[in-house]
Amino acid sequence: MSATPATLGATAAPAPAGSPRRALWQRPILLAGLLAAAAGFFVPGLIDTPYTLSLLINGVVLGIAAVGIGFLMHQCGFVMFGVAAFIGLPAYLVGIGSAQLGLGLTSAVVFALVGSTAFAALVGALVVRARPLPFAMLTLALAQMLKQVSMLQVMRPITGGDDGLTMSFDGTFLGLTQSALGKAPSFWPLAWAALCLVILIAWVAAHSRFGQVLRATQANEERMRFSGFDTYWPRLAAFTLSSFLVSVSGVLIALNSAYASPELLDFATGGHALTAMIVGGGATALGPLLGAMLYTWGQSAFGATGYLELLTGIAVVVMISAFPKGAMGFVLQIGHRLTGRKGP
Amino acid sequence: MNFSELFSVAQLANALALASLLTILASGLALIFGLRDVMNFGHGALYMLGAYLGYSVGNQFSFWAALVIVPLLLAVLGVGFELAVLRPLQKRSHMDVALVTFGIALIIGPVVHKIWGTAPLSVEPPAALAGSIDFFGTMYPTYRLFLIAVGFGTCLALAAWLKFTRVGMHTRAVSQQPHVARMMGVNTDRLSLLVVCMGTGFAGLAGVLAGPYLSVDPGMGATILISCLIIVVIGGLGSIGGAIAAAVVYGFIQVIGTVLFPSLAVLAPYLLLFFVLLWRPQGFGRGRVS
Amino acid sequence: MLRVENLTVAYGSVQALSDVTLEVSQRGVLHGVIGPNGAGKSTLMDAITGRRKPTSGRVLVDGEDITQRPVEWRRRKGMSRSFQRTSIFPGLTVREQLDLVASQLGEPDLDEIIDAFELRPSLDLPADSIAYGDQRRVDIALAMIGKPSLMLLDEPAAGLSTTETIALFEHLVTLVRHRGVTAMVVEHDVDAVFRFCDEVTALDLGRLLVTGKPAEVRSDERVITAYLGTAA
Repeated sequence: MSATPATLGATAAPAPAGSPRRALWQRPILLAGLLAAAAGFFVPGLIDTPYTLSLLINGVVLGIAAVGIGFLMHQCGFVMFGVAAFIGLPAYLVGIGSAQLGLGLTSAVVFALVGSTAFAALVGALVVRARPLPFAMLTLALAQMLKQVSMLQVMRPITGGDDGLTMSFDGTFLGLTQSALGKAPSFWPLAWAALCLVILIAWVAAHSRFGQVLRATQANEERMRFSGFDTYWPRLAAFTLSSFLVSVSGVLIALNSAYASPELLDFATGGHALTAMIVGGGATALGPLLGAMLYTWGQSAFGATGYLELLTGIAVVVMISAFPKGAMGFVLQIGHRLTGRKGP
Repeated sequence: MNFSELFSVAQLANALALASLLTILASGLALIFGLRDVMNFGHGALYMLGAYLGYSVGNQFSFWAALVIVPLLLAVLGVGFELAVLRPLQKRSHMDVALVTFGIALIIGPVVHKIWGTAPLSVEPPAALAGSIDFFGTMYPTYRLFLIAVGFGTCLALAAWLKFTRVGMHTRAVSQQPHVARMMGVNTDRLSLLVVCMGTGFAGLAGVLAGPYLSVDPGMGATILISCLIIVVIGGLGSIGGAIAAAVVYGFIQVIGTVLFPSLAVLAPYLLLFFVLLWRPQGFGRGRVS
Repeated sequence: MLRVENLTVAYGSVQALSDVTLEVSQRGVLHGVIGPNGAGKSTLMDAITGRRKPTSGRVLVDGEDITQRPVEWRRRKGMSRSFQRTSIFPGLTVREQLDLVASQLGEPDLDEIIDAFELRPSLDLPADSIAYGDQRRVDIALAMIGKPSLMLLDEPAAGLSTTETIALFEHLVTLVRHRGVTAMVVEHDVDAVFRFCDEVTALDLGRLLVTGKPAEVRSDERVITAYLGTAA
């Protein structure tokens, strides 16, 4: 991953003047978060039908991708329209690592994550110089380009072309064999742990000085530069981190289904993650997860694929027009009103 | 590598045919961007809708009827787009509106699939334009020549409109300096309505024209959107002249790519984009409608 | 310590700045830049701070040619600026933005700056909710952080009343003397400039008219002509 730029220094996030650093057990939100995280592992015991568990897994995996792009959007104001690129690429890399490079499963996963993140850093170097709108367009072009590459005849031996890449894994990942990964109850702990880790990383990054710098740059980039801050490297780091988080979801998809196809790189796939983020609200680390859950529920309620895309489109239009803060924003507002605190 | 094949009149015409389709689309996109500062991610979907409508209207009546009716239908849709989406969301950030247009693209797709199904459809050129004619020594499909003529004719007409009519001048003024233009009494809302309808109408026109030339299939919207986005980025956001020039370059790159490296030709536009961004990150055009 | 050589900035056919050469050789001085509208004062500031690339000419600080250096580099090396149109961080409180910049550049005595610019009452208020005058002082305070050796202030008194302007200049003089900062101030309020500045430069239509002590500049015929037109 890219090195932390020197200008950010190694200083820890300064405690806001006037508020003493509180101990972990004194911060209710963190405590609640830890409890929820721990409780999550027991979910399969509570769920009867395998279908519901699969649905939850979909929600979690989608949530991971949504948290990734939510981070980038909230900290930098950049929307990764082409998020599908970092869902499909790592998925393919898991398969390519296993088949072409003969890597054991764990190595293949590492290969996929490192490869996808490195690719993000390279693309980002070029793309984060752009303003938000061209950035969005360029990421979309990137996703489409990867899709074209995956379908090229000459790439068939590597990517499987139109038919996609069926994978067979050698060895285990964190103790799970290929067949265990394919089953919902045994896959759930991995997916849930990944989700908790991703949310933790996003939360820590957002609340660090890195996040402060990113948000200030979003507010007034010129002033930041005139205050001695480099604005390019932090943004590149944010893009790379965001892509890494999204890549985790791509790897999970590959592990669970042992299959990667050009559809993963399609607009619509990106659309799911974007919608989840928008529905949930990008302003908090948890918002996109809420959105993903709601969206996944919507997915199952609306069944047929055709209607799903329609639902996605309508959800995007309605949410942006009428509820820009997303469901999480709505929830927070209610929460603030109930506790009598003034909302942000 | 057969150079004579590469630089033949036929290939030149192929490049221009593709380019003319793209110029119609890209100028529509640039117009909407220039006036409303909105990148319409639904432009590809509108084009696809135009192509499918062109298929149906063409079957029902004739290609020529479709050529007139479909752009008008899409222009009417543009009214809805302007009044129901662009105008109410004027004060929102550009990203928000862009996301909404992306959502619209996601809506139009399934609607088209529901009505016309997902199998590719073929559209025959009208009798007058079927077959080939002698073109500088080679037999070349008549329809493509027609396409080139219409494409560049439209561009010329647009350029003339922008330069010589009062409304065209207002359009240029608003896209360069919206506040000043408003203070001078230009009714930007009415102008936007006109320009957005032109933009969507152009998308419809391109869709009808594309029918006999490319295939009519559910993926055409996404593919052409990317091409348009690449063209608009290379040409410089909002610059119509830039978009047209970039579309021509795009057409050539695509055709040359197909001849030189047929299996990798699809990647040619991305390479083009990559190199342009390395060299001149802000694109080439002078920005804004010019 | 600051030297501008043959600086020209052209936008197409318009020459905003033509062949300007000037020097501020001492530290701890307040150097005013005046001129009628369109004289090129802000352009000069933009060229010196790196906001605009000059068409030709050089900018030298302590003998080093910094013309090609990016904005961030200049700031870290001690050249700061404030803006004609207030440029602060709307969502952050005053304290938060001062802390942010201080954490980047290091500031041994933030309290001195806070008190010098009378920002203590508004420290914990969001910057976009405080009065215009206070916002302008935040803008300048941000430029003061990190012990810059050279400060360029673009119309710091823009929009301020006469009383506020005088107070502002008094603050500036104190800080300049106390911290040994060289400050170049573009200002429309000619009286304030002549009253408080140690040296003055006058521009007109992109060209340097005269530079020197306030009394000299004030009585220079070219300056009088530029402002008032040729006497009948």
